[in-house]
Amino acid sequence: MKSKILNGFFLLGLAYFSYLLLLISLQYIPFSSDAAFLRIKIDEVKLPYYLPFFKVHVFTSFFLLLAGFTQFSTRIRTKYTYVHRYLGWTYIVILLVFSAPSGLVLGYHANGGWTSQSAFLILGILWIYTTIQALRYALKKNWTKHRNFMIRSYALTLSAVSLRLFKYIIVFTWHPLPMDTYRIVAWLGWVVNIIIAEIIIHKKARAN
Amino acid sequence: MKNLVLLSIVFLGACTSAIKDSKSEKDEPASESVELMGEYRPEPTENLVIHAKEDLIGYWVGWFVPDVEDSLREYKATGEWLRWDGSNKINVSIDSFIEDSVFGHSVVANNYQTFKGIIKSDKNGFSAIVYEPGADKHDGMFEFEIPSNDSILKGTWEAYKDLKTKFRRYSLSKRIFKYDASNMLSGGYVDWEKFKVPDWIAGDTIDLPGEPDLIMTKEELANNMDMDVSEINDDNYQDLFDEFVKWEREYYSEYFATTGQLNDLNSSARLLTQAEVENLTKADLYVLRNSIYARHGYSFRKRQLRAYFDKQDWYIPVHANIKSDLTEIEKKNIQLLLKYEEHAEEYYDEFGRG
Repeated sequence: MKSKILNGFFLLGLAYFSYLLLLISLQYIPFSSDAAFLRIKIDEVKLPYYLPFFKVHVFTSFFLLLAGFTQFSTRIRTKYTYVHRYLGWTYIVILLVFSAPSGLVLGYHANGGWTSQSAFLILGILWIYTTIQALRYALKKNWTKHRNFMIRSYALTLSAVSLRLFKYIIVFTWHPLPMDTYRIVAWLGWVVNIIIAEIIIHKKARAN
Repeated sequence: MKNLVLLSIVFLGACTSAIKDSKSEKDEPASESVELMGEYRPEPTENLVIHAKEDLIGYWVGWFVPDVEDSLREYKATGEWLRWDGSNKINVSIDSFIEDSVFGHSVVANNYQTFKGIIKSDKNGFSAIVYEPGADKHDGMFEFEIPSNDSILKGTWEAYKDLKTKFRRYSLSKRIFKYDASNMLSGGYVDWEKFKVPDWIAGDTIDLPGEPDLIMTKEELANNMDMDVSEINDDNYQDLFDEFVKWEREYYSEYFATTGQLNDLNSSARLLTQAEVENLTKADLYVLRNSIYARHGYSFRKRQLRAYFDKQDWYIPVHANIKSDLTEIEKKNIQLLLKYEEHAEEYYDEFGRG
Protein backbone atom coordinates (compact mmCIF):
# COMPACT_ATOMS: atom_id res chain seq x y z
CA MET A 1 0.00 0.00 0.00
CA LYS A 2 2.70 2.41 1.08
CA SER A 3 4.78 1.64 -1.98
CA LYS A 4 1.71 2.16 -4.15
CA ILE A 5 1.26 5.70 -2.85
CA LEU A 6 4.98 6.36 -3.29
CA ASN A 7 4.74 4.99 -6.80
CA GLY A 8 1.77 7.24 -7.50
CA PHE A 9 3.69 10.28 -6.36
CA PHE A 10 6.65 9.30 -8.48
CA LEU A 11 4.49 8.94 -11.58
CA LEU A 12 2.77 12.24 -10.89
CA GLY A 13 6.10 14.02 -10.51
CA LEU A 14 7.42 12.29 -13.58
CA ALA A 15 4.38 13.44 -15.56
CA TYR A 16 4.86 17.04 -14.46
CA PHE A 17 8.57 17.17 -15.18
CA SER A 18 8.12 15.36 -18.48
CA TYR A 19 5.69 18.11 -19.37
CA LEU A 20 8.28 20.78 -18.45
CA LEU A 21 10.92 19.03 -20.52
CA LEU A 22 8.49 18.88 -23.41
CA LEU A 23 8.09 22.65 -23.09
CA ILE A 24 11.86 23.04 -23.13
CA SER A 25 12.13 20.92 -26.28
CA LEU A 26 9.29 22.79 -27.94
CA GLN A 27 11.17 26.07 -27.62
CA TYR A 28 13.21 24.86 -30.58
CA ILE A 29 10.13 24.47 -32.80
CA PRO A 30 10.19 26.12 -35.29
CA PHE A 31 13.90 25.54 -35.15
CA SER A 32 16.10 28.53 -34.49
CA SER A 33 19.78 28.48 -33.61
CA ASP A 34 19.16 31.64 -31.58
CA ALA A 35 16.62 30.12 -29.21
CA ALA A 36 17.08 29.40 -25.51
CA PHE A 37 20.22 27.37 -24.75
CA LEU A 38 21.57 27.75 -28.30
CA ARG A 39 21.77 31.52 -27.93
CA ILE A 40 24.85 31.15 -25.77
CA LYS A 41 26.42 28.43 -27.94
CA ILE A 42 27.62 31.02 -30.43
CA ASP A 43 30.79 29.28 -31.58
CA GLU A 44 29.41 25.76 -31.44
CA VAL A 45 26.41 26.39 -33.69
CA LYS A 46 28.86 27.30 -36.44
CA LEU A 47 30.29 23.76 -36.42
CA PRO A 48 28.68 21.73 -39.22
CA TYR A 49 27.80 18.77 -37.01
CA TYR A 50 26.71 20.51 -33.78
CA LEU A 51 23.16 21.46 -34.69
CA PRO A 52 22.24 18.08 -36.26
CA PHE A 53 23.42 16.28 -33.11
CA PHE A 54 21.66 18.88 -30.96
CA LYS A 55 18.36 18.30 -32.78
CA VAL A 56 18.69 14.54 -32.54
CA HIS A 57 19.36 14.79 -28.80
CA VAL A 58 16.58 17.26 -27.99
CA PHE A 59 13.90 15.61 -30.07
CA THR A 60 14.62 11.96 -29.17
CA SER A 61 15.64 12.08 -25.50
CA PHE A 62 12.23 13.22 -24.36
CA PHE A 63 10.69 9.87 -25.33
CA LEU A 64 13.10 7.99 -23.09
CA LEU A 65 11.54 9.61 -20.03
CA LEU A 66 8.19 8.06 -20.92
CA ALA A 67 9.61 4.57 -20.32
CA GLY A 68 9.23 5.31 -16.60
CA PHE A 69 5.45 5.13 -16.93
CA THR A 70 5.34 1.56 -18.18
CA GLN A 71 8.58 -0.37 -17.86
CA PHE A 72 8.77 -0.67 -14.09
CA SER A 73 5.17 -1.83 -13.76
CA THR A 74 4.93 -5.46 -12.67
CA ARG A 75 1.44 -5.68 -14.11
CA ILE A 76 2.46 -4.67 -17.59
CA ARG A 77 5.59 -6.81 -17.44
CA THR A 78 3.75 -9.97 -16.46
CA LYS A 79 0.35 -9.59 -18.10
CA TYR A 80 1.31 -7.73 -21.24
CA THR A 81 4.81 -9.00 -21.80
CA TYR A 82 4.79 -7.97 -25.45
CA VAL A 83 4.15 -4.31 -24.44
CA HIS A 84 7.09 -4.39 -22.05
CA ARG A 85 9.31 -5.99 -24.68
CA TYR A 86 8.23 -3.68 -27.50
CA LEU A 87 8.66 -0.48 -25.44
CA GLY A 88 11.92 -1.80 -24.00
CA TRP A 89 13.37 -2.28 -27.46
CA THR A 90 12.22 1.22 -28.39
CA TYR A 91 13.96 2.64 -25.32
CA ILE A 92 17.18 0.79 -26.07
CA VAL A 93 17.28 1.68 -29.76
CA ILE A 94 16.48 5.39 -29.21
CA LEU A 95 19.04 5.61 -26.42
CA LEU A 96 21.90 3.71 -28.04
CA VAL A 97 21.43 4.95 -31.61
CA PHE A 98 20.27 8.54 -31.09
CA SER A 99 20.22 10.09 -27.63
CA ALA A 100 23.45 8.85 -26.08
CA PRO A 101 25.85 9.28 -29.05
CA SER A 102 24.49 12.78 -29.69
CA GLY A 103 24.69 13.45 -25.96
CA LEU A 104 28.41 12.60 -26.01
CA VAL A 105 28.98 15.11 -28.81
CA LEU A 106 27.11 17.82 -26.88
CA GLY A 107 28.92 16.86 -23.68
CA TYR A 108 32.26 17.27 -25.42
CA HIS A 109 31.22 20.84 -26.31
CA ALA A 110 29.62 21.61 -22.93
CA ASN A 111 29.89 25.12 -21.48
CA GLY A 112 32.00 25.53 -18.38
CA GLY A 113 35.25 23.83 -19.38
CA TRP A 114 36.59 20.43 -18.40
CA THR A 115 34.65 20.30 -15.11
CA SER A 116 31.32 20.06 -16.84
CA GLN A 117 32.65 18.40 -19.99
CA SER A 118 34.00 15.44 -18.01
CA ALA A 119 30.75 15.19 -16.04
CA PHE A 120 28.67 14.92 -19.20
CA LEU A 121 31.07 12.57 -20.96
CA ILE A 122 31.16 10.17 -18.02
CA LEU A 123 27.37 10.38 -17.80
CA GLY A 124 27.11 9.50 -21.50
CA ILE A 125 29.50 6.55 -21.25
CA LEU A 126 27.74 5.16 -18.16
CA TRP A 127 24.40 5.63 -19.88
CA ILE A 128 25.52 3.52 -22.84
CA TYR A 129 27.24 0.93 -20.63
CA THR A 130 24.30 0.36 -18.27
CA THR A 131 21.86 0.13 -21.17
CA ILE A 132 23.96 -2.40 -23.08
CA GLN A 133 24.37 -4.48 -19.91
CA ALA A 134 20.62 -4.36 -19.32
CA LEU A 135 20.03 -5.58 -22.88
CA ARG A 136 22.62 -8.35 -22.55
CA TYR A 137 21.06 -9.69 -19.35
CA ALA A 138 17.59 -9.53 -20.87
CA LEU A 139 18.76 -11.62 -23.81
CA LYS A 140 20.31 -14.06 -21.30
CA LYS A 141 17.01 -13.98 -19.41
CA ASN A 142 18.81 -12.98 -16.22
CA TRP A 143 15.92 -10.81 -15.08
CA THR A 144 17.36 -9.61 -11.78
CA LYS A 145 20.47 -8.21 -13.39
CA HIS A 146 18.42 -6.90 -16.29
CA ARG A 147 16.23 -5.04 -13.83
CA ASN A 148 19.20 -3.67 -11.87
CA PHE A 149 20.90 -2.27 -14.93
CA MET A 150 17.67 -0.83 -16.23
CA ILE A 151 17.17 0.95 -12.91
CA ARG A 152 20.67 2.43 -13.36
CA SER A 153 20.06 3.33 -17.00
CA TYR A 154 16.78 5.03 -16.22
CA ALA A 155 18.29 6.84 -13.23
CA LEU A 156 20.78 8.35 -15.66
CA THR A 157 17.95 9.20 -18.08
CA LEU A 158 16.26 11.03 -15.22
CA SER A 159 19.32 13.28 -14.88
CA ALA A 160 17.58 15.37 -17.55
CA VAL A 161 15.07 16.26 -14.85
CA SER A 162 17.28 16.23 -11.77
CA LEU A 163 19.98 18.44 -13.29
CA ARG A 164 17.42 21.13 -13.99
CA LEU A 165 15.72 20.66 -10.65
CA PHE A 166 19.02 20.98 -8.79
CA LYS A 167 19.80 24.08 -10.77
CA TYR A 168 16.48 25.62 -9.78
CA ILE A 169 16.97 24.80 -6.11
CA ILE A 170 20.59 25.94 -5.99
CA VAL A 171 19.87 29.26 -7.68
CA PHE A 172 16.80 29.79 -5.51
CA THR A 173 18.79 29.15 -2.35
CA TRP A 174 22.27 30.59 -2.93
CA HIS A 175 22.17 32.68 -6.15
CA PRO A 176 25.61 31.51 -7.26
CA LEU A 177 27.21 32.65 -10.51
CA PRO A 178 25.59 31.09 -13.56
CA MET A 179 28.51 28.98 -14.77
CA ASP A 180 29.48 27.83 -11.29
CA THR A 181 25.92 26.58 -10.92
CA TYR A 182 26.20 24.77 -14.21
CA ARG A 183 29.43 23.01 -13.23
CA ILE A 184 27.89 21.88 -9.95
CA VAL A 185 24.71 20.50 -11.46
CA ALA A 186 26.59 18.82 -14.30
CA TRP A 187 27.88 16.44 -11.61
CA LEU A 188 25.06 16.48 -9.05
CA GLY A 189 22.47 15.88 -11.76
CA TRP A 190 23.48 12.27 -12.30
CA VAL A 191 25.69 11.30 -9.33
CA VAL A 192 22.81 11.71 -6.90
CA ASN A 193 20.58 9.69 -9.19
CA ILE A 194 23.01 6.80 -9.48
CA ILE A 195 23.42 6.72 -5.69
CA ILE A 196 19.64 6.53 -5.27
CA ALA A 197 19.55 3.79 -7.91
CA GLU A 198 22.13 1.74 -6.00
CA ILE A 199 20.14 2.15 -2.79
CA ILE A 200 16.99 0.92 -4.54
CA ILE A 201 18.87 -2.05 -6.01
CA HIS A 202 20.37 -2.86 -2.63
CA LYS A 203 16.97 -2.77 -0.93
CA LYS A 204 15.41 -4.98 -3.58
CA ALA A 205 18.23 -7.49 -3.17
CA ARG A 206 17.70 -7.61 0.58
CA ALA A 207 13.93 -7.93 0.20
CA ASN A 208 14.45 -11.12 -1.77
CA MET B 1 -6.83 14.66 -34.77
CA LYS B 2 -4.36 16.83 -36.62
CA ASN B 3 -6.10 19.90 -35.26
CA LEU B 4 -5.90 18.50 -31.79
CA VAL B 5 -2.14 18.03 -32.05
CA LEU B 6 -1.79 21.56 -33.41
CA LEU B 7 -3.99 22.94 -30.68
CA SER B 8 -2.02 21.21 -27.97
CA ILE B 9 1.26 22.54 -29.38
CA VAL B 10 -0.16 26.06 -29.35
CA PHE B 11 -1.42 25.48 -25.82
CA LEU B 12 1.93 24.18 -24.62
CA GLY B 13 3.71 27.04 -26.29
CA ALA B 14 1.63 29.49 -24.31
CA CYS B 15 2.68 27.96 -21.02
CA THR B 16 6.41 28.49 -21.20
CA SER B 17 6.35 30.68 -18.10
CA ALA B 18 7.18 27.54 -16.13
CA ILE B 19 10.57 27.30 -17.79
CA LYS B 20 11.27 30.85 -18.87
CA ASP B 21 11.01 34.40 -17.53
CA SER B 22 9.45 36.89 -19.87
CA LYS B 23 11.93 39.22 -21.43
CA SER B 24 11.78 42.83 -20.40
CA GLU B 25 12.86 45.56 -22.72
CA LYS B 26 16.44 46.66 -22.69
CA ASP B 27 17.18 50.24 -21.78
CA GLU B 28 19.79 50.74 -24.42
CA PRO B 29 20.95 54.18 -25.32
CA ALA B 30 19.42 55.43 -28.54
CA SER B 31 20.40 53.46 -31.60
CA GLU B 32 23.85 53.75 -33.05
CA SER B 33 22.70 55.67 -36.08
CA VAL B 34 21.43 58.63 -34.09
CA GLU B 35 23.12 61.78 -35.26
CA LEU B 36 24.61 64.06 -32.69
CA MET B 37 22.10 66.76 -33.39
CA GLY B 38 23.59 70.16 -32.86
CA GLU B 39 26.24 68.84 -30.49
CA TYR B 40 29.37 70.89 -30.63
CA ARG B 41 32.94 69.79 -30.00
CA PRO B 42 35.28 72.61 -29.17
CA GLU B 43 38.89 72.58 -30.25
CA PRO B 44 40.66 73.06 -26.98
CA THR B 45 44.17 74.26 -26.42
CA GLU B 46 46.28 71.72 -24.62
CA ASN B 47 47.03 74.21 -21.86
CA LEU B 48 45.39 73.06 -18.67
CA VAL B 49 46.63 76.09 -16.77
CA ILE B 50 45.01 79.33 -17.86
CA HIS B 51 47.37 82.01 -19.15
CA ALA B 52 45.27 83.48 -21.95
CA LYS B 53 41.59 83.63 -22.84
CA GLU B 54 42.04 80.96 -25.55
CA ASP B 55 43.16 78.52 -22.87
CA LEU B 56 39.62 78.59 -21.49
CA ILE B 57 38.27 76.78 -24.54
CA GLY B 58 37.56 73.14 -23.85
CA TYR B 59 35.80 70.84 -21.38
CA TRP B 60 35.60 71.78 -17.71
CA VAL B 61 34.67 68.72 -15.73
CA GLY B 62 33.74 68.08 -12.13
CA TRP B 63 30.92 67.65 -9.66
CA PHE B 64 27.69 69.59 -9.97
CA VAL B 65 26.76 69.69 -6.30
CA PRO B 66 23.36 70.63 -4.84
CA ASP B 67 23.94 73.79 -2.84
CA VAL B 68 21.92 73.12 0.27
CA GLU B 69 22.73 73.09 3.93
CA ASP B 70 24.14 69.77 5.02
CA SER B 71 21.19 69.21 7.33
CA LEU B 72 18.78 69.46 4.39
CA ARG B 73 20.80 67.29 2.08
CA GLU B 74 19.00 64.22 0.77
CA TYR B 75 20.96 61.05 0.35
CA LYS B 76 20.11 57.97 -1.64
CA ALA B 77 21.58 54.66 -0.56
CA THR B 78 23.77 53.19 -3.26
CA GLY B 79 24.54 49.94 -1.57
CA GLU B 80 25.59 48.93 1.87
CA TRP B 81 28.30 51.52 2.47
CA LEU B 82 27.71 54.01 -0.31
CA ARG B 83 25.38 56.92 -0.68
CA TRP B 84 24.65 59.41 -3.42
CA ASP B 85 24.15 63.05 -2.44
CA GLY B 86 22.55 64.23 -5.66
CA SER B 87 25.81 65.36 -7.27
CA ASN B 88 26.31 64.64 -10.93
CA LYS B 89 29.44 64.91 -13.02
CA ILE B 90 29.05 67.92 -15.28
CA ASN B 91 30.95 68.95 -18.36
CA VAL B 92 30.87 72.72 -18.91
CA SER B 93 32.25 73.24 -22.39
CA ILE B 94 33.51 76.68 -23.36
CA ASP B 95 33.27 76.65 -27.13
CA SER B 96 34.09 80.10 -28.54
CA PHE B 97 34.36 83.84 -27.96
CA ILE B 98 33.25 86.85 -29.94
CA GLU B 99 34.74 89.86 -28.22
CA ASP B 100 33.19 89.88 -24.73
CA SER B 101 30.64 87.22 -25.55
CA VAL B 102 31.23 83.62 -24.61
CA PHE B 103 29.44 80.61 -26.14
CA GLY B 104 29.34 77.11 -24.83
CA HIS B 105 27.26 74.19 -23.65
CA SER B 106 26.97 71.83 -20.73
CA VAL B 107 26.36 68.10 -20.55
CA VAL B 108 24.99 66.56 -17.39
CA ALA B 109 22.55 63.74 -16.66
CA ASN B 110 21.80 63.15 -20.33
CA ASN B 111 20.98 66.82 -20.77
CA TYR B 112 22.87 68.76 -23.46
CA GLN B 113 22.21 72.49 -23.22
CA THR B 114 23.82 75.51 -24.82
CA PHE B 115 24.58 78.78 -23.07
CA LYS B 116 25.86 82.21 -23.93
CA GLY B 117 26.89 85.21 -21.89
CA ILE B 118 29.49 87.80 -21.13
CA ILE B 119 33.05 87.17 -19.99
CA LYS B 120 35.22 89.78 -18.30
CA SER B 121 38.89 89.73 -17.51
CA ASP B 122 41.02 91.66 -15.10
CA LYS B 123 44.38 91.13 -13.46
CA ASN B 124 42.96 88.41 -11.21
CA GLY B 125 41.60 86.32 -14.03
CA PHE B 126 38.29 85.76 -15.78
CA SER B 127 34.72 85.93 -14.61
CA ALA B 128 31.59 85.13 -16.56
CA ILE B 129 27.81 85.02 -16.30
CA VAL B 130 26.19 82.79 -18.89
CA TYR B 131 22.56 81.94 -19.57
CA GLU B 132 20.83 78.85 -20.85
CA PRO B 133 17.97 79.52 -23.31
CA GLY B 134 15.15 79.06 -20.79
CA ALA B 135 12.75 76.89 -22.76
CA ASP B 136 13.74 73.78 -20.84
CA LYS B 137 12.62 73.33 -17.23
CA HIS B 138 16.19 72.54 -16.24
CA ASP B 139 17.64 75.75 -17.66
CA GLY B 140 19.34 78.29 -15.52
CA MET B 141 22.33 80.62 -15.28
CA PHE B 142 25.95 79.93 -14.47
CA GLU B 143 28.18 82.38 -12.71
CA PHE B 144 31.83 81.43 -12.47
CA GLU B 145 35.39 82.64 -12.36
CA ILE B 146 38.76 81.29 -13.36
CA PRO B 147 41.75 82.84 -11.64
CA SER B 148 44.62 83.40 -14.07
CA ASN B 149 47.58 81.07 -13.80
CA ASP B 150 45.23 78.65 -12.10
CA SER B 151 43.38 75.62 -13.42
CA ILE B 152 40.04 75.71 -11.63
CA LEU B 153 36.70 76.99 -12.86
CA LYS B 154 34.60 77.68 -9.82
CA GLY B 155 31.09 78.99 -9.47
CA THR B 156 27.39 78.57 -8.93
CA TRP B 157 24.30 77.77 -10.94
CA GLU B 158 20.74 78.86 -10.35
CA ALA B 159 17.68 77.41 -12.05
CA TYR B 160 15.18 79.88 -13.51
CA LYS B 161 12.29 77.76 -12.28
CA ASP B 162 11.66 76.39 -8.82
CA LEU B 163 13.28 73.01 -9.24
CA LYS B 164 13.75 70.63 -6.34
CA THR B 165 17.41 71.55 -6.51
CA LYS B 166 17.41 75.19 -7.48
CA PHE B 167 21.02 76.02 -6.58
CA ARG B 168 24.16 74.13 -7.38
CA ARG B 169 27.87 74.81 -7.06
CA TYR B 170 30.87 73.37 -8.82
CA SER B 171 34.62 73.45 -8.99
CA LEU B 172 35.80 72.14 -12.34
CA SER B 173 39.12 71.31 -13.94
CA LYS B 174 39.92 71.44 -17.60
CA ARG B 175 40.06 68.02 -19.19
CA ILE B 176 40.94 66.86 -22.68
CA PHE B 177 38.48 64.21 -23.83
CA LYS B 178 40.07 61.45 -25.81
CA TYR B 179 38.44 58.12 -26.50
CA ASP B 180 40.57 55.47 -24.85
CA ALA B 181 39.60 51.83 -25.26
CA SER B 182 41.88 50.78 -22.43
CA ASN B 183 39.95 52.56 -19.66
CA MET B 184 39.02 50.05 -16.96
CA LEU B 185 36.19 50.06 -14.45
CA SER B 186 36.86 50.41 -10.76
CA GLY B 187 34.51 49.59 -7.96
CA GLY B 188 31.34 47.57 -7.92
CA TYR B 189 27.88 48.46 -9.09
CA VAL B 190 24.96 47.96 -6.74
CA ASP B 191 21.27 48.61 -6.49
CA TRP B 192 20.20 51.85 -4.89
CA GLU B 193 17.90 50.29 -2.41
CA LYS B 194 16.97 46.73 -2.00
CA PHE B 195 13.24 46.63 -2.09
CA LYS B 196 10.67 44.02 -2.90
CA VAL B 197 8.95 44.60 -6.16
CA PRO B 198 5.45 45.81 -5.29
CA ASP B 199 2.51 44.00 -6.80
CA TRP B 200 1.60 46.90 -8.98
CA ILE B 201 4.96 46.64 -10.67
CA ALA B 202 4.92 42.88 -10.88
CA GLY B 203 1.43 42.79 -12.36
CA ASP B 204 -0.37 44.84 -14.95
CA THR B 205 -1.47 48.33 -14.16
CA ILE B 206 -5.12 48.81 -13.33
CA ASP B 207 -7.29 50.61 -15.82
CA LEU B 208 -9.98 52.76 -14.27
CA PRO B 209 -12.49 54.00 -16.84
CA GLY B 210 -12.00 57.66 -17.63
CA GLU B 211 -8.95 58.03 -15.43
CA PRO B 212 -5.27 57.68 -16.01
CA ASP B 213 -3.51 54.95 -14.06
CA LEU B 214 -2.95 57.05 -10.97
CA ILE B 215 -1.44 54.39 -8.82
CA MET B 216 1.49 56.59 -7.99
CA THR B 217 1.10 60.25 -7.24
CA LYS B 218 2.81 62.77 -9.45
CA GLU B 219 5.07 63.74 -6.55
CA GLU B 220 6.18 60.16 -6.06
CA LEU B 221 6.77 59.71 -9.76
CA ALA B 222 8.71 62.97 -10.00
CA ASN B 223 10.87 61.89 -7.09
CA ASN B 224 11.56 58.51 -8.65
CA MET B 225 12.28 59.90 -12.09
CA ASP B 226 14.58 62.60 -10.74
CA MET B 227 12.29 65.27 -12.15
CA ASP B 228 10.44 68.24 -10.85
CA VAL B 229 6.76 67.68 -10.13
CA SER B 230 5.79 70.62 -12.34
CA GLU B 231 7.23 68.76 -15.30
CA ILE B 232 4.65 66.00 -14.97
CA ASN B 233 1.21 66.57 -16.41
CA ASP B 234 -1.69 64.35 -17.43
CA ASP B 235 -0.32 64.04 -20.96
CA ASN B 236 3.12 62.71 -20.14
CA TYR B 237 2.25 60.96 -16.89
CA GLN B 238 1.52 57.61 -18.48
CA ASP B 239 4.67 57.59 -20.62
CA LEU B 240 6.87 58.52 -17.68
CA PHE B 241 5.11 56.03 -15.47
CA ASP B 242 5.61 53.29 -18.05
CA GLU B 243 9.26 54.23 -18.32
CA PHE B 244 9.64 54.08 -14.56
CA VAL B 245 7.98 50.68 -14.40
CA LYS B 246 10.25 49.48 -17.16
CA TRP B 247 13.32 50.60 -15.27
CA GLU B 248 12.12 49.11 -12.03
CA ARG B 249 11.30 45.81 -13.67
CA GLU B 250 14.72 45.64 -15.21
CA TYR B 251 16.38 46.85 -12.09
CA TYR B 252 14.61 44.93 -9.45
CA SER B 253 16.42 41.75 -8.92
CA GLU B 254 17.94 40.47 -5.73
CA TYR B 255 21.06 39.48 -7.59
CA PHE B 256 21.57 42.77 -9.36
CA ALA B 257 25.07 43.38 -8.13
CA THR B 258 28.34 43.11 -9.94
CA THR B 259 31.18 40.79 -9.01
CA GLY B 260 34.93 41.39 -8.89
CA GLN B 261 35.21 39.92 -12.37
CA LEU B 262 33.92 43.22 -13.72
CA ASN B 263 37.12 45.07 -12.87
CA ASP B 264 39.31 42.65 -14.82
CA LEU B 265 37.38 42.86 -18.07
CA ASN B 266 37.38 45.49 -20.77
CA SER B 267 34.65 45.40 -23.38
CA SER B 268 36.27 47.94 -25.72
CA ALA B 269 39.90 46.89 -26.01
CA ARG B 270 39.44 43.41 -27.42
CA LEU B 271 36.82 40.81 -28.26
CA LEU B 272 35.41 39.15 -25.17
CA THR B 273 35.27 35.37 -25.26
CA GLN B 274 32.35 33.17 -24.25
CA ALA B 275 34.46 31.73 -21.44
CA GLU B 276 34.98 35.24 -20.04
CA VAL B 277 31.33 36.22 -20.00
CA GLU B 278 29.56 32.95 -19.21
CA ASN B 279 30.08 33.21 -15.45
CA LEU B 280 29.13 36.89 -15.15
CA THR B 281 26.02 38.08 -13.35
CA LYS B 282 23.39 39.99 -15.23
CA ALA B 283 24.65 43.17 -13.57
CA ASP B 284 28.24 42.47 -14.70
CA LEU B 285 27.04 42.01 -18.27
CA TYR B 286 24.89 45.09 -18.10
CA VAL B 287 27.61 47.37 -16.73
CA LEU B 288 30.22 45.99 -19.12
CA ARG B 289 27.95 46.78 -22.05
CA ASN B 290 27.23 50.28 -20.80
CA SER B 291 30.94 50.91 -20.14
CA ILE B 292 31.38 50.92 -23.92
CA TYR B 293 29.03 53.88 -24.18
CA ALA B 294 30.73 55.51 -21.19
CA ARG B 295 34.15 55.38 -22.86
CA HIS B 296 32.67 57.30 -25.77
CA GLY B 297 31.41 59.96 -23.39
CA TYR B 298 27.72 59.07 -23.28
CA SER B 299 25.89 60.98 -20.55
CA PHE B 300 23.56 58.56 -18.76
CA ARG B 301 19.98 59.39 -17.95
CA LYS B 302 19.47 56.40 -15.68
CA ARG B 303 20.52 57.51 -12.22
CA GLN B 304 22.10 54.25 -11.13
CA LEU B 305 24.35 54.05 -14.17
CA ARG B 306 25.17 57.73 -13.96
CA ALA B 307 26.30 57.54 -10.35
CA TYR B 308 28.48 54.55 -11.16
CA PHE B 309 30.21 55.95 -14.22
CA ASP B 310 30.50 59.46 -12.75
CA LYS B 311 32.80 57.90 -10.16
CA GLN B 312 35.21 56.58 -12.81
CA ASP B 313 38.11 59.03 -12.99
CA TRP B 314 38.47 58.77 -16.74
CA TYR B 315 34.78 59.33 -17.43
CA ILE B 316 33.67 62.61 -18.98
CA PRO B 317 30.06 63.15 -20.08
CA VAL B 318 30.27 64.53 -23.61
CA HIS B 319 27.19 63.40 -25.54
CA ALA B 320 23.52 63.08 -24.76
CA ASN B 321 23.21 60.69 -27.69
CA ILE B 322 25.29 57.64 -28.28
CA LYS B 323 28.02 58.18 -30.80
CA SER B 324 27.86 56.33 -34.08
CA ASP B 325 31.56 55.54 -34.14
CA LEU B 326 31.63 52.47 -31.95
CA THR B 327 34.49 50.23 -33.01
CA GLU B 328 33.89 46.85 -34.66
CA ILE B 329 35.19 45.20 -31.49
CA GLU B 330 32.66 47.12 -29.41
CA LYS B 331 29.77 46.32 -31.73
CA LYS B 332 30.58 42.62 -31.52
CA ASN B 333 30.99 42.75 -27.74
CA ILE B 334 27.65 44.51 -27.40
CA GLN B 335 26.02 41.71 -29.39
CA LEU B 336 27.65 39.05 -27.23
CA LEU B 337 26.81 40.79 -23.94
CA LEU B 338 23.21 41.35 -25.00
CA LYS B 339 22.81 37.66 -25.79
CA TYR B 340 24.04 36.70 -22.35
CA GLU B 341 21.97 39.41 -20.69
CA GLU B 342 18.84 38.11 -22.36
CA HIS B 343 19.75 34.58 -21.46
CA ALA B 344 20.36 35.51 -17.82
CA GLU B 345 17.10 37.40 -17.73
CA GLU B 346 15.06 34.57 -19.15
CA TYR B 347 16.67 31.47 -17.73
CA TYR B 348 18.88 32.16 -14.71
CA ASP B 349 16.33 31.27 -12.04
CA GLU B 350 14.07 28.95 -13.99
CA PHE B 351 13.76 25.19 -14.29
CA GLY B 352 16.17 24.47 -17.09
CA ARG B 353 19.74 23.95 -17.99
CA GLY B 354 21.68 27.18 -18.40
